[in-house]
Amino acid sequence: MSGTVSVEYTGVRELRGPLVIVEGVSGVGWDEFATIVLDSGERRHGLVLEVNRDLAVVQVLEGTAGMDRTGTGIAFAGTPLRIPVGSGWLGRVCNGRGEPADDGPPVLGGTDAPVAGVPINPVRREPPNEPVLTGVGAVDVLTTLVRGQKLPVFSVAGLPHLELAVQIAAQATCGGEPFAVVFAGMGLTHADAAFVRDGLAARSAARELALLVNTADDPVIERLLTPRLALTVAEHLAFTQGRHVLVVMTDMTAYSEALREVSAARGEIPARRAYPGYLYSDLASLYERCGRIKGRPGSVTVLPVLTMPAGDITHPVPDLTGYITEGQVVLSPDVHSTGTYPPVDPLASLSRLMRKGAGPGRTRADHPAVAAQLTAALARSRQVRELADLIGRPALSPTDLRFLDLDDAFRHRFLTQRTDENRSLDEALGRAWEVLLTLPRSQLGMIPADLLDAHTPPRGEEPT
Amino acid sequence: MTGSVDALDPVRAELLRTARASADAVRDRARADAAETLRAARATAEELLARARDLGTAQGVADAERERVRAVQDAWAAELVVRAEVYAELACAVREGVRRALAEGAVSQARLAEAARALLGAGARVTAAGGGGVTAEVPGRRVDLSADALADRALNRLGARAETLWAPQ
Amino acid sequence: MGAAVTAPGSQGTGPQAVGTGPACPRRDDTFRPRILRVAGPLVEITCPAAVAMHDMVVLGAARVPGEVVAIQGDTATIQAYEYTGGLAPGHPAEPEGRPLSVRMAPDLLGGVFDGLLRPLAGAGDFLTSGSSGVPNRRSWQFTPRVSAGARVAAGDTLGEIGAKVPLRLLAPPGRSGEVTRIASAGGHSPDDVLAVVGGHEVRMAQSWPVRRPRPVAERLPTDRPLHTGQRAVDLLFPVALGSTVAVPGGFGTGKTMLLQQIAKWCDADVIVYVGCGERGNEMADVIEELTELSDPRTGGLLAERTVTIANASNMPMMAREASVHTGATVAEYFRDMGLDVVLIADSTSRWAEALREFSSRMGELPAEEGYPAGLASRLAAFYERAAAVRTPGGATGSVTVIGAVSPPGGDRTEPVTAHTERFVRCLWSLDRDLAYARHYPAVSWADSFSRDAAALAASHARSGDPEWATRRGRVAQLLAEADRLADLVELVGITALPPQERISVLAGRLLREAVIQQNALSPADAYSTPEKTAALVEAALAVIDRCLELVSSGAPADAVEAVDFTPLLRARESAGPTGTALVAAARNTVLARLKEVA
Repeated sequence: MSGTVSVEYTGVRELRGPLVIVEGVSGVGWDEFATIVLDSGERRHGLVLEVNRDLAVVQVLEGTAGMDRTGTGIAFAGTPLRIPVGSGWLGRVCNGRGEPADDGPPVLGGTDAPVAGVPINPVRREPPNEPVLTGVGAVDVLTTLVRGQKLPVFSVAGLPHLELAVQIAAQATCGGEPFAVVFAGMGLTHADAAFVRDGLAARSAARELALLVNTADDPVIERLLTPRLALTVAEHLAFTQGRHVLVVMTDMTAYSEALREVSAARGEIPARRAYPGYLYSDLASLYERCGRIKGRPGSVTVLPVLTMPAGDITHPVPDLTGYITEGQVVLSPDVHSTGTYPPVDPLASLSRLMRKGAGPGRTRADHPAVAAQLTAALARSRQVRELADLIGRPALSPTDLRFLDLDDAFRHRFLTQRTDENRSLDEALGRAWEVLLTLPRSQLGMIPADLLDAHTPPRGEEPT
Repeated sequence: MTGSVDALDPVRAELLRTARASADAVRDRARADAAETLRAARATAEELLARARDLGTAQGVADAERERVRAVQDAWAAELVVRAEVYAELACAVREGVRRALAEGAVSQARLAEAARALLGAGARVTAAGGGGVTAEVPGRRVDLSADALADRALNRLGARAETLWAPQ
Repeated sequence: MGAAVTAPGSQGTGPQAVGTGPACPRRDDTFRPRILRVAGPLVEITCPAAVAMHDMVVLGAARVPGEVVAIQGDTATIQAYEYTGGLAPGHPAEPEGRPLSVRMAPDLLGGVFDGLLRPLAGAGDFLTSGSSGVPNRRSWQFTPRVSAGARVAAGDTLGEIGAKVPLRLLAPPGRSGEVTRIASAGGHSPDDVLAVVGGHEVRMAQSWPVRRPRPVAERLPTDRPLHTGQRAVDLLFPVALGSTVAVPGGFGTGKTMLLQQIAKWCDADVIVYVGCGERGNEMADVIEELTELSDPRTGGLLAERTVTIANASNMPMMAREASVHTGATVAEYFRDMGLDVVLIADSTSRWAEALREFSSRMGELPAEEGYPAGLASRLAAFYERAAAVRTPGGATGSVTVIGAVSPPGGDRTEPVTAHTERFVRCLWSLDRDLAYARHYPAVSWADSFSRDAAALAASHARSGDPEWATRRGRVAQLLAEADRLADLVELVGITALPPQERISVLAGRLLREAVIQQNALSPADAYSTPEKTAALVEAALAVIDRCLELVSSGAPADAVEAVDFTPLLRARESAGPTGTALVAAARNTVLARLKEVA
């Protein structure tokens, strides 16, 4: 990392889990980056977790397997970990440490930046108010993603969240403005990693994507680094080079488990479900790197994907994520079981910034009213369905039956989409109208009359 | 604790000049291969597209589009391989160059030993490294001033400037 | 963690064998304190004898600020407030010889600050260590109220400062005696000496240690209402000036939204808003809105009565710990000028997490869920800074504390929520089911409480509203009854209930939709005057009473339920923030429709 000659320290006192404790060091600062040279000549990398007098505790990113006390040398960089940044990352596929996995040369950059990031000054933040269009109708219409927002996908093992993440990463755009995607995979199986590479190959070859993949058999601790590399690359592409950047991070549950494993190795006092007490702050240090900055053209939008263990939304990872992020897109096993893709639960999903990012001048003038009305109607549909289960369909009123029709139309005409189908917002809104018009006009009270007039077929043709 | 061996700086500059010359040759050869790949792939795509138009099938157009995207991907993959070769060539050239420079006495062993002692203290045990340069150690600490280590550091320091090797001039 | 790197005997004697630099100071080096150990925000230094607990220490060349939290033998433990990356054993540490203090001046109003009260305006796009902005040193109009030669006691008013909020220059705590000099009327900068009292120079700007409550003459009973403008709160769970409120709520329950509404619309003189470990975009939003909205009482901008302390969740964690004390100190500074101040802390759970994080690094024995055993007393001490007081100068002022709590997984038995509930006088519990049904503000009437209600009922009676307590009781009882019946309705259907019960279910719906719900995004409904709230409740109760009369005199419940209540439900929107006449008109329209049923 450095062109200057560094002293290697060889006094390894202890090796434990991912940690190596070296003695006899001097002038080593906390959070410095370290290079570890093994007897075999192999090089590994680490971060200083603690310095105490002449001892340094180093966390080894590649793990300590094969390291011994006598043949190991550790050199310190004199600064926290920095990586090269710049457009050289676009079109590249790397492992979770940022090393090439595409037969290309190392990623080089004209400048470098600390991977830990630097907090954005809250008074310099520009409140987000423009959309990122994903080409996925359910997301664009009902939970519009806004530039500078952090909007997670909550899923459950077995659901197609990776397909959705890849589809969004492959299709997302910002209305013709410079755009790039940084995709960070943590703990992916090899099959999943191959799926991601294939699904994003076109965008990669178009030099609009940086892909970092840590696989399930890569060192656990490397998983802590992967999203930070992704965000560091993204921040430079956005705030220095003026692109709108979407950062997809999956699976944050695998990331959090890595954090827990390292915390246990360090002998820290555990909090909820043995996750470290700083899980909230650690997740925030990732998610909060999204945003827009006054006077700078680009934006960083973060889309973390996480699986809720046993579908439990009160599990610390989804719970703390929910406290930090601005809404959530929830995938539902019930919808999935009907064979619908993407299996989005429209009632549990919410984009808190949508009211700023959708509407006239942002998406389309009728968008907010259509989305609000559709959500309200679906809520009523759900009640009617529960009632039908309880008292039987024949006992329902004619209006109630129309709401059941709406529910079906929603799934078949609006929600369902092919994984390779890039649906325009106009088409998605058109389908939303089609679904809404299965209801009589009297049930569409949230839509202003003029909009209704423009979209309602002349009397007599109204579906019965 | 870090220190720099400034005496090597002029050597480094000279090395990069020679490295670039040798890299150019590799690059031109590899570039030609890649261009041929891309040309062939594009031709296939064009052909498919033309046939699809003749048949007027949507499927055919989709196939041609896929072929075109794949051609771009193949070309980019080939380009990356070329860049990696050029970079590896550069690394080799720098290593060879540093070895040669040290062998020719551009920086004396004594000067390197002195640099090592400045970092580790006067009591450091200094050993000549195979391929030139020295390594030195005291209990608990060591310094690597071998030719290869010096070359690798020079390469790292080069950073993005290495990109000029494959960037359009 | 300490166990991992304990180096018994290494201190002082050190590994000279391998030849060290300045990393291991010798024992006689105590006059120049040095860093010994760095583990994140925990830093140990060699400790000169003069260092006291809670003293500030500046660490390393980057001048990272920290505070002494433990002294053991010749080492002191420091809690650092900024990123400690790069700090190494052997680097210098400079004790400042005074506790963590903040500079307070009129220019706090309208400003945005970090957890140590350093201005964020002008601090750059990214917050690197030590990149704080400079205080705004604009000039303020000063009018003296004493003349040279007068004798004053601590807290007495020396003059008035012309801001949107009526500010005063006071004789500082502990300073009394003869006024030997007083500035003449005119514009002065906050750092100008405006008076000399008992030989002590007095400026608008002054410094105060954040962990020490400012002195008061006496604590007063809390019996004046704080009008928040939120009906769910003002009607059912009112809070008195100087009281304490906790607002627990899982994510998505609208906690921050409710607190922001109160920050905007409550009738306090000064708002201190502490964003403690929360979202950066949300802070940006608050700041933007405050600078755009005007204050219905003064006509000035809401920003001009607000002090914002922004410590977003990715800003240094330990500054989060200091930020709530900083906020309390700022609140007390304005309180001492005879003002009513509301301190909002969002979220105290993130503050408690900072406590836990540091205590864990200190190797303290953990209590529940890893929190330190002292959590309860730390929480209690924070909420104790709320009070209605007589200031040393004889004025009446108050600090009301409203703290958000973020229970993990919505679990109200977790330590922070459970302890907080014991220390506060009001609890506004936010309910996930209400929020899910888009009922905002999602204040649960079943799980919330106000221990101020009785005192405030007396206060309302004194100020001409003797019916206040009756109305409140009636609404609470109707809502509870409707909840009880809701479960039954789900099982057997509404038509299986007797007519009186069916009207109770209807009453619950009318109260929820016409009175309790409030639309934060609608200018007409975002805030409700006490008069409008009272009018809405009276209208709803009048309608409900008429419905009950109708069914008891034999009218079918179906017919009553079928009446169009829309004018009543829309009254909170159509009447605007203040209009009570329109509410009465809506009531009369609905009553007339009911007459047709009979």
